[in-house]
Amino acid sequence: MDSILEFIVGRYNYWLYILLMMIGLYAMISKNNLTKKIVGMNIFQTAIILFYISIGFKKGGTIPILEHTSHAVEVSHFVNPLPHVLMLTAIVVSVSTFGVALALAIMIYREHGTLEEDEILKCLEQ
Amino acid sequence: MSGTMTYHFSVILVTFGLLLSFITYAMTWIKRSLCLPFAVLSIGFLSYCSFSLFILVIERGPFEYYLGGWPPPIGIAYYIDELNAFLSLLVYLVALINLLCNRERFLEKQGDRIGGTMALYILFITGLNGILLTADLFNLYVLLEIASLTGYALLAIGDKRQAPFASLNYVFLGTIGACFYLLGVGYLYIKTGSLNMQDVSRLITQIPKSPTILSGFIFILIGIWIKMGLFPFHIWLPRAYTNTFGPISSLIAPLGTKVMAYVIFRVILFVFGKEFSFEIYSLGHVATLFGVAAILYGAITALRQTDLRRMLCFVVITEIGYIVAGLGVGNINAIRGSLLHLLNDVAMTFCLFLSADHLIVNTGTKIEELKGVFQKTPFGSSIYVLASLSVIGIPPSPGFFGKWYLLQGSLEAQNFWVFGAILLSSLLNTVLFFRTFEEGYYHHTESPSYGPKKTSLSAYGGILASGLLVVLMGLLAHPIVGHIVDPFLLRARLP
Amino acid sequence: MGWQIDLLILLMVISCAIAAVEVKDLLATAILFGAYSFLMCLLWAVMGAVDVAFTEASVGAGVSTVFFVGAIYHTRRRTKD
Repeated sequence: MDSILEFIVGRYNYWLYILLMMIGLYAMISKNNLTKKIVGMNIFQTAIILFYISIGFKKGGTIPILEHTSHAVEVSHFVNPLPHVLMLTAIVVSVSTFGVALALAIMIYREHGTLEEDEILKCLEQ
Repeated sequence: MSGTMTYHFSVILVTFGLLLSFITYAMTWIKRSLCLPFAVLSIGFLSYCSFSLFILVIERGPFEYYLGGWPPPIGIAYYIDELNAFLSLLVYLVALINLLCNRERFLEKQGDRIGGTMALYILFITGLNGILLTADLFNLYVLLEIASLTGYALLAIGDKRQAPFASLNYVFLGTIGACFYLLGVGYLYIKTGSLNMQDVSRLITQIPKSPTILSGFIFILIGIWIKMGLFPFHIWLPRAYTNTFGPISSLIAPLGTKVMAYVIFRVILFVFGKEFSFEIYSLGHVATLFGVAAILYGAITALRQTDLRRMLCFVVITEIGYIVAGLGVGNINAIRGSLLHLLNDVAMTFCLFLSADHLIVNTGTKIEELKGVFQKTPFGSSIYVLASLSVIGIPPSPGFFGKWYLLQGSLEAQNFWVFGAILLSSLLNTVLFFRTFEEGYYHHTESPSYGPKKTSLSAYGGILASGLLVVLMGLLAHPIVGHIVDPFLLRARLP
Repeated sequence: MGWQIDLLILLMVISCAIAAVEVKDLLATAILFGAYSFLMCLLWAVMGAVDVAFTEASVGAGVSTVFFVGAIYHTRRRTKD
């Protein structure tokens, strides 16, 4: 019983990232409004960024910044900074995707006068 | 040029590609009419770099290039071998021919926004080129997103009013695909602590059967399969490629999916390794299943289409099916066949889309509107026939050689599903293309609904060049297998 | 001390995400989405990823929200779902 509880509580970041991914996917699939879908897409992307940051986290670790020291430092005292550096790029990518998607949404609105998917599909059938 | 300078071309291709695209846009501020010539010059320069890199690789064998001199696993490495150098050369050639061929149409359609369009054009091929050359899993993701984001923007330039909507749908699916890939890389990073392909593949062999690696494997595969438009994940492909502006479709349709197909080979053979993917994770069955399904679905659905370009999109789906099915069969001849087919397919699909686009301009988008088009533009139509015969697989054409190796491989592996699917789909493709020939050749119309469009010399030159590319790939099939595909397979320790 | 703050932020992140997706006014979605990004950035700061938190606060919560409000200005604010 304890081990199951440990399994759930000890990895709460991973559970959260899965939950956020599912919220994002749900919004992308079931929402009718295109702006909502775009928000869902961005939530999906931030979930993956959260996953990466959780990889680098260590219990009892601190910010990976070194003061000017001459003595050797213990690696386990610092969280792993490599995933952070990767995620800086991923954040920029996710914002650019967000921007491109919103620009496309504005183009669609100018063309069809609406952002509801069912109305656009009806408009395209004619 | 000295050899050491040529080594640097591997990174210059990517960095200068990014730089030149911004300079192309900056040309708008000086004089708008300079943008397009400058873009042509830039792509010409990049093609030259790519060509000399290819010559270097053929002469001295594959090499690694460390960015900033930092060796991996700390630094990012680019790995250049015969296959990806050749594919990168093909990417630039296709982009150059396409741009020269459709110069007037770009100016006519995007006249006041030509700077931005050209900048996106160069960024797109730079992204693809980076995907081909990089040896770093995360770097691949970033370049993948560069290529995808510019691809979304280019696809939204539409002949039809559906284009932005189709492109937005592609944004959603493409983002899911790229995110799955990133997630898979994350799982690999948890276990190996490295992002360099060679390093990861060395560390992975020490921990077989780890569920974390398996999750990473599945996520990466599904992510790339979405991006390459394999059958159950293909929904975005026909819509996005059909509704877009003609010259954009002839750029993205041949390049986008094929480059992602190359990534599949790179990841499976050089990161996970053959024994690992095929024996422990039994990729063979899954890939065969998806491949055969894609071949049959593409070939049959193409028959139902009334729109010419939409029909060609389903042909693209079939071609992707061949490549994945060949990978699934998994013996040396089948994988050799898939790789050869991948290379040939770039030339064939490009020629097909370019000449079909020429026909569409002259008549209309529907197949029944093609009536009498062979009389109207005999030159463009004959190149279209050449490309179609190559897709069907008539012997001296490049399509034949790829299919030949695939059939041989599937017979050796006793895999009659793949064997039957390839034969059946070739037959269905014959029916498909002869239907368009029939409309174009036999049904004369007394008064054509549209007058023949004035086509410039450069457009004819471009179509001719794309036809020549197909013929050359067919004639050079043997050296391509011997000098480009086989060394790749040898390094993957396949035989 | 750490885990209580963590848990609080986690709950707020999830509720902001759900609310951003479900609310019927798109401007409210924009604001809730900004709040979501900002809470995410707090979460990362707690986890020691200060550089990522900085970037997210400026790019994710800042620029995204500006883009979003701009896009809503050019389209429509109300939605059915």
